[in-house]
Amino acid sequence: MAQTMAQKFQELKEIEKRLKQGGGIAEIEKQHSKGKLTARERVEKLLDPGSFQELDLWCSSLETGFPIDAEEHPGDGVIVGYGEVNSRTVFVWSQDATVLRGTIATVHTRKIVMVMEKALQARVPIVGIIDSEGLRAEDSIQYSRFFSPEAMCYFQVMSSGIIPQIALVMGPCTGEMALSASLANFVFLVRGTSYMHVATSPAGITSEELGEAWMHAKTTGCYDVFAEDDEDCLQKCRELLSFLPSNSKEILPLLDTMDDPNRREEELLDLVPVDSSKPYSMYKLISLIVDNEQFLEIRRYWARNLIVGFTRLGGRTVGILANNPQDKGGCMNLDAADKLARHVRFCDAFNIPLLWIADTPAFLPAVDEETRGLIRHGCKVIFANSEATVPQITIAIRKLYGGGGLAMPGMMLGGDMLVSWPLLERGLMGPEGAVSIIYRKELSSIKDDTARAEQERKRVKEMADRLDLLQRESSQEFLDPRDTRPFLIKAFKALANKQQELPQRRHENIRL
Amino acid sequence: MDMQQKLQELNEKRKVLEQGGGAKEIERQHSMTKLTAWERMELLFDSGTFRELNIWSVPLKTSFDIDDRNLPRDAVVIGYGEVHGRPVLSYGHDFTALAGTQAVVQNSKVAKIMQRAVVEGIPFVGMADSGGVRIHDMFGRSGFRPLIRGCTIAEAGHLMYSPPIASGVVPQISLMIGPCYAGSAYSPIMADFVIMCKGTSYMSVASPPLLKAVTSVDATQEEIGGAWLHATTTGSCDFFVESDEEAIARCRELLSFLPSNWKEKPPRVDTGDDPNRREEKLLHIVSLDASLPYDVHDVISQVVDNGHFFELQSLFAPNLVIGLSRLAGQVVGIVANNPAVAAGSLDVNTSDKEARFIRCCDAFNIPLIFLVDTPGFLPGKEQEQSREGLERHAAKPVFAICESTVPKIVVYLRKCYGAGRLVMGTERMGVDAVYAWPSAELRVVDIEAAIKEIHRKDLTSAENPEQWLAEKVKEFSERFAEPDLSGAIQTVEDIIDPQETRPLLIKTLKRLSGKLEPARPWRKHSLVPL
Repeated sequence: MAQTMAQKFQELKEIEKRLKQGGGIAEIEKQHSKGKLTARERVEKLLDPGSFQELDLWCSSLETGFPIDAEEHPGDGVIVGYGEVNSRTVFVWSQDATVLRGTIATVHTRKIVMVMEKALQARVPIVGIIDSEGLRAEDSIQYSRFFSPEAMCYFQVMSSGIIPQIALVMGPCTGEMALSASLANFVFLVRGTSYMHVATSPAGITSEELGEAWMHAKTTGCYDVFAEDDEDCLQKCRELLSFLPSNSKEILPLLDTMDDPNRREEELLDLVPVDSSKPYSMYKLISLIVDNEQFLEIRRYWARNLIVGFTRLGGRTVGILANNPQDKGGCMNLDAADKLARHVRFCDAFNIPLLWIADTPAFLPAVDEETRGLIRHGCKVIFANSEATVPQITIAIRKLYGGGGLAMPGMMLGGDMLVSWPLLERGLMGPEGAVSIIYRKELSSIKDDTARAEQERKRVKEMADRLDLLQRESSQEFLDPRDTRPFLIKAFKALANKQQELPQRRHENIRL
Repeated sequence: MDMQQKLQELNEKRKVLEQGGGAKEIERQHSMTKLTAWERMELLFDSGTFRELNIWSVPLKTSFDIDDRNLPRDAVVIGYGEVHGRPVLSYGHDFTALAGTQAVVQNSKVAKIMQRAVVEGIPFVGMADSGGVRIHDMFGRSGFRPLIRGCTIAEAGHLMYSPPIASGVVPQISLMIGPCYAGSAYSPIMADFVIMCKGTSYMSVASPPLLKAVTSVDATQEEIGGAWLHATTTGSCDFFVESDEEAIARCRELLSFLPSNWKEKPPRVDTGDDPNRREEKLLHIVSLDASLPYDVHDVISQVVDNGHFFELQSLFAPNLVIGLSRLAGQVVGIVANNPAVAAGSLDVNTSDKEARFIRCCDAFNIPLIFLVDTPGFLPGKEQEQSREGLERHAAKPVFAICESTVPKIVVYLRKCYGAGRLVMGTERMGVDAVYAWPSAELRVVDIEAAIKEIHRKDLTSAENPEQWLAEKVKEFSERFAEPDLSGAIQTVEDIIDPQETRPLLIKTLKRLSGKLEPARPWRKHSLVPL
C-alpha cells in the first residue's frame, strides 16, 4: 500500500521512540535506583540543551548464534553523536547500561570508533561516557578482532595531542576499557558509582571495592577529576571544556570574564608569613589573583603537595602549577613530579600558557621515595619543562631551593620569566651551610672557641649578604604582591604569540 | 722564542693538565677501583681516536680560597672519537680534580658536548663521577647567573635543558660510574640508556647524611642509591656491571646497535649466520600445556643471529624481557613475555619497561619483534590498589605500540589472555605482521566464564549443572578452538611451524625494510601517559 512521505517518516519516528528507550522502563528505573542517569540523560545534560545530534541509532548487534540474537538491543548499547558545549562542537559517545549492561561488542565499538575518527578529522574534542560491564561474551568469544577496544585505543593514540580527549567513568570500567579510559587526557570518576580496574577481581573482593573511585582519587592517581554524582561530573566536564581549545592548532579567543585586569588585592600583602616555615593557603593565593576566583583543579586529592589546574587571567586560559605549603611543606616528591609533568605536557600540546607559583624546599628526602625511583620519576619534570614552548612564567613566592628550581623552573629550562615576591629565598643551602663547607679549614684552624665563633659569625654575615645579592640578581623583577594579577595579565599578553622551534625528531624518549 | 719552543712550552703545560688532580689523586681513584676520566676515554674510543677538547679551560674565580687551587679542565674531560669507526662525543667528570664537582665552566663544557651532538647528529656518552655541586662556585660566581654563552638559559641550566631537547634526536648513553647525587643525577638519568657499576655507582636525591639530618633515618648509600637497587627495584638502570671496564665495553656494544641519529637506520653487519636456518629445537621448548613454564631466552637464542641477545634491564621486572639482537644482520628490538617468571604476567613494572623500550626503538628506527606468551594482568588488590597506579602504567605500552611507526611483528608462542592482547600489540594497533605457533591460544574471554554468562538460564535449569557445564566447555573448546579461530577471524595471518620462525621473521623484515612513514596528523607532541 502506498504511503506518503509523512506517513513513512512517522513510522520511523515510532520505532525510533522505542529504540531511544534503550533497555526499557524497567532497566531505566534500575539505573536510576543506583543513583545514575541513563546514557541519554547524561548526553543531554553534558551538551547545550537541544544540541545533541545522534548518529547510528539504528545499528543493531552482529549475529552471534546465541540466545541473545532473539532480543532487540537498541544501538548495540551505546549512544554516539555530536553536539555543543558552550556553543562549541564536541563529539560524544555514551555507553547505555540499560542495554545488555552496556557490554562491548563489535557494532558497539565500531560506533565509538566512528565518532573518534570523526572528532579527530573535525579537530574537535571528544567525550566518552563509560558505563559498561565489559566485553559481551557472546560476541567477544568469536569476533574479538573485528572491532574491540584495541581499535579505540589506536584512534585515541592517533588523536593524542591533537584534540582534547575526556573519559567520564560513570559506572563500571574494567579490563580493556580501563586501559582505553587511561589513554584519555582527563579521566573523571564519580563517588560511589564508578569503579575501574584492569584484571578481574580476585576472590573475596567485589569489583566495586577493588576499583573504587575514592581509592583511585587518593591513592593510585589514576584519575583527573573526582565528582560527587552524575550531575556534578557532567557539570565539571563542561567547565573543563570551557578552558580548552578545540584542537592543538587553535588558540582560544579571550573570554570576557568581567573581572578587572588591573584589580590589586590588598589581602595578598599579608597572606604569606615572612617566616618561611609557616604554611598558608595556596588556594587562597590563587583565587585572589585569577579571574573571578575560578580555578578548576586537576587530581585534587592525589599528590596534594602540588596543585595543578586551569584558570583564567584576563580571560586567557592559563595552566597553573603551584606548591602547596600546607602539605609536606610544599616539598616536591615522586608523585608530584608525575602530576606536574603530565599537566605541563598537556598544556604545552594545546597552546595553554603556564604559570608556576613556587614555594618549595625542594625534593623530599625519604628512603621510600628513593627506592620507588625518585630520580627516574623526578627527571620527568625537567623533561616536560624543557620541552615546553608555550609562554612560561614562574613567580617565586618564598622558597625555591635545590631541585625545586627544576620543578618550578623560572628561566632555568627555557622559561620566559622569573619574577619574585619580596620574600624570595633561593639557593642550594642557607649561609650557615655554605660557610661550614667553604671555610671549614679556616674555622678549624682557630683554636680559641670564642674567636672561632666570632669569625664564623662574621663569615655567615658575609655569606648572607652575598646570597642576598645573588638572589636579587636571579629574579627579573620583584613584585608588590598586590600587583601580581595586573603583572601576570600584561606579561602573558606580551608573550601571547611566542614561537619556539625544537630540533626535528619522531618523538622524545621521556622516562615513563 | 720560535714556534718550536713555544710549542714545546705548551706541550709541557698540557702534560701537567693531562694529569688532572695529580699522582696522589689518581692513585686514590684507582684504589676506589675506578679509572680516571682520561683512561675511560681511551677505553671507550677505538684506539688512538680520542681527541680532547677544551683541555685549557679553567674555573671562574669565586673570590674564595679555592681560587688558588689548581683545577685542570675544571674537572671534566670532554671530546670526541670513534666507536667501531663511527664518531661519538663524550664527557667524563674528572674525580681527581676536587671530586669532579660541578661548577659553571664544567657545566658549560658538558652542555657543549650535548649541544654539539644535536648539531652534528651523533650520539653522546656521559661518564658521571661527581661529588655534586661545588658550593664555592655556587656561592661565588653562581649557577644562577647566565654566564658564558646563552642569554636566557644559564649553562648550568643547559646541563638539564639539553638532554630532553636531544632526546629522540641522537642516542644518549650515561655511564654512572661514581657518585651522582641530586642535581648531578638528574642530567644523566634522562639519557636513553643508563649503565651503573656495582660498588661505585650511587644515585639518589638525598645523600645518607642529608637523609639522616632531615628524617633521622640511617640508610646506606647502597640502600638508597646503589646500582643493585636501581637495577632490580627502581628500574632506573639498564645495565648492571661490575667494573669500569665492563661498563665501557657494554656501552661500546650498545652503540653498535644504534644509529647515529633518528634519521639513520642502525648499522647492518654481516653476522655470518644463515638466514634460512631452521631450528628443530624450537619444537620442544614450549609445551602445549599453558601452565608449564619455560625460559623465553631459549626461544630467542634459537632465532636470532648467532644466538646473541643483548638484554636490557635483565634484573628489573624479569617477567618481561627486552633487548637488542640481529636478524640477518639487521638490528631488531625484542619484547618477550617470560613464562619462567611469574608465568609471564604483566604488571606496573613490565609496563614501564616495555613502553619505554618501544618508544626508544621507534625513535631510532629499530624494528620490533614481540614474542607473546602471557596470561595478562593477574587479579590482585596489591597491583590494582597500588599507589603506583596500575591503569596509568598499563596504558603506556598500549600507547607506545599504537604511536610507533617502525616495522612491528608479533609472534604468538602460546597464550595471550584478556587485556594482554593490547599490551603486546595487534594488527589493529598498527602491527605489520602477526604469526602464531600451533601452541598459540588467544582468549579475550575465559571459556567457562563466557558459558556461564551466555547460558545463564540453561545452566540454572540444568538437572546436573556441573555435568552440563563440563559438556558445554568441551563443546565450546572445539567450536572456538585455538589457534584455528584466530586464523579464521584474521587475528593472525598464519599459523607457522616454530622451526620456520627465523627464516620467516627475516623474510618479513626484508619486506618491511622500506616501510614508509605513515601519514599522521600534525601535532606538537603526543601525550604518552606518564
